[in-house]
Amino acid sequence: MEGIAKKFSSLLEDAALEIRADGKAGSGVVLVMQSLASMAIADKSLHVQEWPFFSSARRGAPIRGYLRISRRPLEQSSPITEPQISVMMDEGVARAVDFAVGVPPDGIYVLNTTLSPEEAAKKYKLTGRVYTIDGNALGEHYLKKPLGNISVLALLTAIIPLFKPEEAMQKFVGVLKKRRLPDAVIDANMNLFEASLGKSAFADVACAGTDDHSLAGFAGYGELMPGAQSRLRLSRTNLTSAYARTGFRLHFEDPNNLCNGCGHCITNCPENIIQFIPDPTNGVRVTGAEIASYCKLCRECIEVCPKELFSEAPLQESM
Amino acid sequence: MAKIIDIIQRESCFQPGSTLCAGCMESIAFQNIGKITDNGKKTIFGLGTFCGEVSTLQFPNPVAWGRGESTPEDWTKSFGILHHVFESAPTITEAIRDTVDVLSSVGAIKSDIQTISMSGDGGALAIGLRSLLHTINRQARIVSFVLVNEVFANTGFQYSPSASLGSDTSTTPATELHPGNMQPPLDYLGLAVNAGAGLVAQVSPAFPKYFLKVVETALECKGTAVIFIPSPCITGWKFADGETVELARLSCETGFFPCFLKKKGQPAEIKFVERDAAKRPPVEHFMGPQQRFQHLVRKNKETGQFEVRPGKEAVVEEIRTWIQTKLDALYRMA
Ligand SMILES: Cc1ncc(C[n+]2csc(CCOP(=O)(O)OP(=O)(O)O)c2C)c(N)n1
Ligand code: SF4
Ligand code: SF4
Ligand code: SF4
Repeated sequence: MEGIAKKFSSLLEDAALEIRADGKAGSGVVLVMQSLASMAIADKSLHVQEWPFFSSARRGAPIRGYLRISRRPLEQSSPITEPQISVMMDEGVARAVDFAVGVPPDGIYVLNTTLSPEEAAKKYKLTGRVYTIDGNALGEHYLKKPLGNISVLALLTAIIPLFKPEEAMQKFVGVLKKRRLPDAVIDANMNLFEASLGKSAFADVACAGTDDHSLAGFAGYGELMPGAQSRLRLSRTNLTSAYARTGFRLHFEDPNNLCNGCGHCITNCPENIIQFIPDPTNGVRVTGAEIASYCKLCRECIEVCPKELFSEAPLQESM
Repeated sequence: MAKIIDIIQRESCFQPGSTLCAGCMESIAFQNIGKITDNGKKTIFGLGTFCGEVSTLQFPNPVAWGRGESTPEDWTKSFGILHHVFESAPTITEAIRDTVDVLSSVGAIKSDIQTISMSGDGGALAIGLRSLLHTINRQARIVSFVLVNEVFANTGFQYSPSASLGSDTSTTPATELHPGNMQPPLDYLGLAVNAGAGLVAQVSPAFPKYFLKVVETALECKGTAVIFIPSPCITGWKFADGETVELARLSCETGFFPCFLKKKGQPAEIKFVERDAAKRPPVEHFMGPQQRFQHLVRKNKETGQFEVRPGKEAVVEEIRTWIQTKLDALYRMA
């Protein structure tokens, strides 16, 4: 901790402490970053920038939050590309974005995961200091919801030497009160915050290869009309399966050929990804869905299929 | 008239990859419209700004538009998209129609092109009502889809003039003293009929066969066809995953969004909903699963049934009266 404190204080004096957080819309990234920002601006000598970045994406979509803190006036306004602290709020998001991109070799990772720091470092190929906390389990216990953000916030206030966890907790109450939450919910959040301090684990690791997580250079916009901001992608390049409830996926099974070709799943799948083959008697026979790439696990097909051929199953990821 | 089993096997121009919420009804409507319109003619869609536009077109990336593996050079032969400002989808589509008609009359276009406008209920019934009504009044030969989710979803679930009585929106929050929105919703079906639309319909993809019939009839219509699609909004109405289609069905059966079809000069057709309140499922069945009505309806812990919260009977009675008045007015057109 000593080393970190020293490094952070020189960063704050000479440059800026930069934090980046990745999560899904709804996983509490914005609340964590806003809370940290409101704690930091209470210190009059600090300059703070905080903003979430999300496009027109909706519930379940990956979102990113940025926070810059410095004792010098902040003149940059660009996104943070090389954060000293990278926060991963939801393991589901790691399927869609690389939360480690651009983090320097002595960077810090704060991960909401059931894995140990060593396991996480191996899985995500990380080098630096890795903190892990099982925020979802703590959230489930105190809030009855698998929400890891409060635990991550508590852990961050403990790591960043600018904050004292007890004071931070009081500031956090203020943030929650502003959101007009009922007192009972605020109390539950406080208990969760307190319980989370000391529930984390950390390790210094070196698992990243030289080519892992490197920043992609700017390759230009290609042949594009004026004003276009990114390369023209064809449809079907936006892999939306990362929206699915973290840790679960759709399962289709029809060993006894029960599918009667009613077509309910085909007309009612919002993503239009039900796969079928023509069938001489029933018209069509459903064979599955494009689960790996696009299924958002909205559960419509599960609800509408009269033969109950669709279900939800745990997602087995290859380590 | 095409058979539904053939329609569902078509390749829709609405592809996976949108950033709409999981389970969004706008998405379900789009993929079905994309299949029905793929009938050999080219289609041009004029889109206003709403969830269904910002989450499917991220300039310059048509993330959710295309046709299978075909390249933009190929798919633009079968459909095109014009995105314009929030409130003007019907009028810009009318402009596309006029352009097509002029080009056809000089022989520059050989086959007919279908022109379709799409907007949200905020875009069509609040800021854009002017655009919609004047397009209808000019009898422009377009099909205008309005996705009615009762709120301005894209900007944060603010009240829209179609918001149901008693609904909690971010600008008409339900409090101890105030039961959410108490402004009776705009009679948009009546307005469109009286403005002289060639066809006015309200239909949900939850009734796939009827949806297909209505959309195909609208594509044949010589005047302006306006189709309102009730669109349960999972994030704004706040209900559980997987209930979108079920709620769309209930929204019709309980009378909130009766299925309706009226061609100009002909009696209206009202479907899947009883005029007699005693024969309809109670409104609580539709309201109960949605958090935006939770200040009015709750689940009885013992029976598991939805029931009106004590003290809120008067508000719910007002909702029932509003629904009955609306249904009676529609039945008078039948
Ligand atoms: C002239 C103008 N005013 C405001 C906006 C901002 N705006 C974009 S979408 C939207 C709400 C759309 O609501 P609705 O039409 O109901 O569609 P939904 O998002 O609910 O599907 C607003 C207010 C705008 N784009 N243009
Ligand atoms: S859960 Fe079913 S209906 Fe929903 S996106 Fe996946 S395949 Fe489609
Ligand atoms: S809903 Fe079920 S039975 Fe009907 S077509 Fe789909 S898989 Fe087959
Ligand atoms: S906010 Fe509502 S209308 Fe918008 S994408 Fe989500 S469910 Fe659909």
